[in-house]
Amino acid sequence: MFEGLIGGFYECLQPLNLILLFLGTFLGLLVGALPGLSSPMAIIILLPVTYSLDPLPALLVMIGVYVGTKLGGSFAAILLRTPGTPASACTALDGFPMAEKGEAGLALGYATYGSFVGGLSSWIIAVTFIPVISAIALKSSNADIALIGIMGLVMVSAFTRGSMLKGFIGVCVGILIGCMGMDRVDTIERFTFGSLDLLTGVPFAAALVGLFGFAVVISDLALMKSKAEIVATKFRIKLPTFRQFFSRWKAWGTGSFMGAIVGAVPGVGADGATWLAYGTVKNNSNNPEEFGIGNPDGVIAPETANNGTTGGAMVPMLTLGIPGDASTAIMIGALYLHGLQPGVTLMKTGGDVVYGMLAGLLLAGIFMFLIAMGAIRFFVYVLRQHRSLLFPFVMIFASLGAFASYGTIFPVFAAIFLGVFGFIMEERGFPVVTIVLGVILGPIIEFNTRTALMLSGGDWTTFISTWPRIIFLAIIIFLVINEIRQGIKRQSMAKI
Amino acid sequence: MRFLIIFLATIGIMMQTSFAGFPDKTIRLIVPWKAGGGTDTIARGFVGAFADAAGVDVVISNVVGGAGSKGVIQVQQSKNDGYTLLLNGTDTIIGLNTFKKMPFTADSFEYVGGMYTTPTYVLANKKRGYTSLSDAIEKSKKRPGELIAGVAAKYNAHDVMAHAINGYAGAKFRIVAFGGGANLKKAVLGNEIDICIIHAPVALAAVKEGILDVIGTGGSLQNITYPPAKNMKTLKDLNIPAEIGVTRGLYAPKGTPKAVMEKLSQIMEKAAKSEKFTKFGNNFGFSPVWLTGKEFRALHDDGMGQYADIKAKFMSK
Repeated sequence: MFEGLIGGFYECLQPLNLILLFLGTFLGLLVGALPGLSSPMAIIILLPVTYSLDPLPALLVMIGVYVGTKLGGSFAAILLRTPGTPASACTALDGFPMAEKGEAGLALGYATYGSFVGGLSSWIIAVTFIPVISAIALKSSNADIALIGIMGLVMVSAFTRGSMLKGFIGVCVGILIGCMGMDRVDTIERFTFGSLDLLTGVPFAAALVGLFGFAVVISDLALMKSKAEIVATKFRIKLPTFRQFFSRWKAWGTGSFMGAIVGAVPGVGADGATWLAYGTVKNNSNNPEEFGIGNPDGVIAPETANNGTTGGAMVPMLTLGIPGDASTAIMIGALYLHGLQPGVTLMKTGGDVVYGMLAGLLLAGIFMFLIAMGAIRFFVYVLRQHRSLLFPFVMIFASLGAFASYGTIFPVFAAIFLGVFGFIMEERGFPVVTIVLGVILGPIIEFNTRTALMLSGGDWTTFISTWPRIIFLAIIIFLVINEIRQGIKRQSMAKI
Repeated sequence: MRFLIIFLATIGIMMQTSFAGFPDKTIRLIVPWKAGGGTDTIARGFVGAFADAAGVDVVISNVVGGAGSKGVIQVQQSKNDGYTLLLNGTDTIIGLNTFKKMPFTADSFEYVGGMYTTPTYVLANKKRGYTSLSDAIEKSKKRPGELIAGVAAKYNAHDVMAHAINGYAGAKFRIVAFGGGANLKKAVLGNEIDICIIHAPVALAAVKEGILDVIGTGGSLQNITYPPAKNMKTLKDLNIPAEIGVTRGLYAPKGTPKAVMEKLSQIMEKAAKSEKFTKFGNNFGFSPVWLTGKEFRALHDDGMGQYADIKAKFMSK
């Protein structure tokens, strides 16, 4: 194992491989920073370009893109509140308020540190405990995934400021939106109104750029003539120091751990891990009321979890041929196209490529850190421009992102509609983040609950049939009781 | 009369001339499944050879949704000039038309040809200890509804084959759809289910490693590149009158000119037999085949009859 990794690093450090990995990471950051564009999209576009390359260099480009997009997506979330991926949507919760307060440099810095540390710690966990990570991927059944999803959803309190009822309604609206399209279990059409476009449901990209990006533009139209208060007026951009970052160990520790473990669970991955990490850090904080208005921990936790999923998703892909997410699914196809056979034999038949990819994962994290730290100043400079210059670009990129998700105009219309809808909801005090949470986690919970029940023959005790499930359920019950208790407390305080 | 003949002949010559240069611009292959899946991977393995044979650029578009119907409909509604084609497996059009009301039928397309045939096979985790499909069937009869047969989705080839096994052989498997091949593969590798009914050669690496066993197949495995599985008993060998599998091929919109279809067929045959695609196919698990448009179409007619029969007998509840 150790010798294999040394060999992997040796291969990766060859000049051509290193250059390709660097270019992939750079491209990933760029693609991720454009709202709506995602890692799978970039990898699939690059695939034909890599045909002429040997397997390892080809896959290193993809790994670079994969790692780079994770952080790039957060840049757009922090600066424009227009996340490119469901995973980076969580970062917008505290990242954007920080940017609004003139702390964009700090927010981007914390996100970069977080992503780097998350990727690094997840890599160490994944490489050290390959059998454990593989077992988690293999043994996590539908019941486990459903409970993890519910855990994320009951943490909704972590994402709401103000009325819990409105937060709950927001989640329900999100779940309803997530229900649209042909359902995965019975292939029954739901809320499609006879529309062919709606057969696929509301595209994630449209929901994200609409509910976040377009809604922000609409709500800020009144400020059109002013400069964005995205950085402090003084030219010097303040970045966090290592000491400041590492003092927030609870946030990055929780994010790293959740990323590595939840990332290995196929079907939940980064989308679930970021929200779980955020919710856990907020619930354990002494000052939970500071979250959602620009707390650095609210940036660090989801960011470490986001990049923390890379190791967790990559190991099952390499050892079992089971993809952790859409990007690793495409990489499995790429392995076939490059003459390799992914699956349990890959370690034997293509060990050099496997170790090279693992080494590349770590090196891509280092490149990501270096490129991003250098690019923060540029991003902030761009964001300092007048809103009248900025908003058209936000609208164009958000529209392009929505369009690229399906290659049709439908997601653009859906994004505009959801933008107006999100704006109205937010004006009425319904936090749009709860809608997004419902859109993301609703389908995961529904599908896995139904499949778990089919597997158990309709026996609900399947949800308490193993120790991990009992623990998950206990946490859910605790969170619900705690929330009710705090709600009653808040009400009685308000009366006084 | 003479004028009419001359007129028609002129029109005919003009049309032939206008298609003589085909193809002279980029061809778009629509794959109705997401990137990274089985059909998409085969498409990407094929596209290079197809572009070489066509002499023009060929791009793949993944138009996903509606259990594959969205991409199929998009091709159906495309201009019938041969530049927009559907690359898909036979079971989508057969399954959707058997179980759903769709705006298309098998008659809505022209058939260019088929290039990759894989039967649907039955896998079981070695820990389950099944020696054959018959063995698993017998055990399911002793514990009705307890043993689980996993399929990737409802109303596809896997689901139809599971119902055929239950119906014709009297097996008592509980059929569970896993919402995709990746989930199903995980379930069988994790020993969560008794048997897994899925398109070959999914999880072939685990079979080679001795983690999974191939215990049955819906059709001949003669073309598989794993010799021990070549002579696996088919459903018909077990007196189950069904032959289930999928052939990936190319479809063109209805009304595509004959000259264009002929040219496409020539290009596809060359690509299907090319060294490039053969190398890919062998690595993926099966040797490629070449089926003419007529043969490819016939598979749909056979499949429709078979699916309708199984539906009427065992899936009508």
